[in-house]
Amino acid sequence: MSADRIKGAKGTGGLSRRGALIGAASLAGLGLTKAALAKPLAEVLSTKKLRAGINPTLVPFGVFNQQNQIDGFDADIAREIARQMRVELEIVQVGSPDRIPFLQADRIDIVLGAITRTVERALVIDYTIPLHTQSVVILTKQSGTAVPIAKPADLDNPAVRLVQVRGTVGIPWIQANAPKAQVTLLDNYPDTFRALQQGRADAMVDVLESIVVPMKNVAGVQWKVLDEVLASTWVGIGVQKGNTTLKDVLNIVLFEMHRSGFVGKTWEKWFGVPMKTPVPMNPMF
Amino acid sequence: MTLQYGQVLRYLPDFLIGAAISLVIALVAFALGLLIGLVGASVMTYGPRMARWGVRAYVSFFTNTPQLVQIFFLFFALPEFGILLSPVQAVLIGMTLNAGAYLTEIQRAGFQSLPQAEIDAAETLGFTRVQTVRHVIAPHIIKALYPSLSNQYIIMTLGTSMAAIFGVEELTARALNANAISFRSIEIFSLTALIYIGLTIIASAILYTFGRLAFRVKARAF
Repeated sequence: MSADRIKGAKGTGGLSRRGALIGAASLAGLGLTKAALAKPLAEVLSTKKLRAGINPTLVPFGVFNQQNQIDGFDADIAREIARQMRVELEIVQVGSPDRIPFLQADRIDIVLGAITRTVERALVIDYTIPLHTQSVVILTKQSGTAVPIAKPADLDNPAVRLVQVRGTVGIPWIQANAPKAQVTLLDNYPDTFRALQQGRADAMVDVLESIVVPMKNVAGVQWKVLDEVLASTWVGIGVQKGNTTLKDVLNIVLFEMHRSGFVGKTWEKWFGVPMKTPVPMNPMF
Repeated sequence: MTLQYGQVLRYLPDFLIGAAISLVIALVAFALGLLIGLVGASVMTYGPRMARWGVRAYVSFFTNTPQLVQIFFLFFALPEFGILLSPVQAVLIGMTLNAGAYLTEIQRAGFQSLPQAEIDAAETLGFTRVQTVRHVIAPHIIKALYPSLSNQYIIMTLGTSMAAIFGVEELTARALNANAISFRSIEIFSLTALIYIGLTIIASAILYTFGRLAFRVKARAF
């Protein structure tokens, strides 16, 4: 083995993208140039192109279909938005850590991917009116848990091991309601389900919409979703802060998509059941 | 878009705890890897044929597969065989084995750089085996290898960011958590990058000073 081989960079597979992101972000942060502004409406219309950031690991909001193209609930919604605005849709694959930088660096015009509306996030991006809701529930197993888990209060126990995807809405709920539990944070849903399946954890607090499809694909586990809805969250589509020209149009397009039943039908197509907490019709926004 | 670092400074104490965890992981894995490497290099240089083959297979496997895949295997594949490692255990074992392979190669190169004449001289002077290692072989090898070892240690410090994927709450993990809550990605990741630069500068300074004092070696310094 030659000396340069020894010094060679080690393969870090999936981290290269994150590394590049962090590198780019730090360059932007350190030697700050004025960041690109997102395309306002006029530019979307003149280029006849709308770029939507979609996360294909968030099944069924985003999925890779048999042709290895991005499909799913979010893709259907984005296609319908583009159709109504009479522009072409370009789907851009994004992940959790890089979706906001993509928006801010003008690589995408809108971002989907079940982005829960919070005050803190609203300081950074702008949201459209709600596209859908999510219901926070507890996913556990029929057997093989450290202690029996039958109600939310059972989680607040030092013997309980929870596993969560980083940055999901279940985490603040756990901090407030089950501070005694042990929590492991992983990067994505496939890893968290594997951790539950392998007995690394007893339960997960997350939105029903994120777990309902993946849990069916995990073999050999008797899942149990507790009935209680711990909280409902509201999910809008994200646009760059201050991009009101685009946001105002999207609001009206979304309202019409709710009114025509397109959102509801598309939801049932991908989830197999109606939305647990419906989005009420409200023409004032 | 305006950057508002004031919004993310409150994460700094949390990030520094994460940085300390990164540092400890790198330190432990490097120290253990150094021991594995010493044994491996000794076997490859002086060991019997079968043992040499074994070490060569180990080194080839760990230097020709991504470290991410190695840790992934330890964390997610071993439970299928009934072995459940905690996140920290999986990352430490993975990084140690990986470091052991690279450090075997580095130290083997050091052994080979040792002139036979020096060993012959020690033998002529009637040194025992232990004296030869202590007064002739060790000082020579440490001097020769110091830059490569320092380099490896810095690579490992940055490599600890992989631990985030497996649920170890080190610096990158905490940055990702903060990013998910606040969406201030550029501020958070640039702050994180600065802390990593700080970590490697600190590591370099320690190695440089230690090298100068203990072995009179000029290590890499910024």
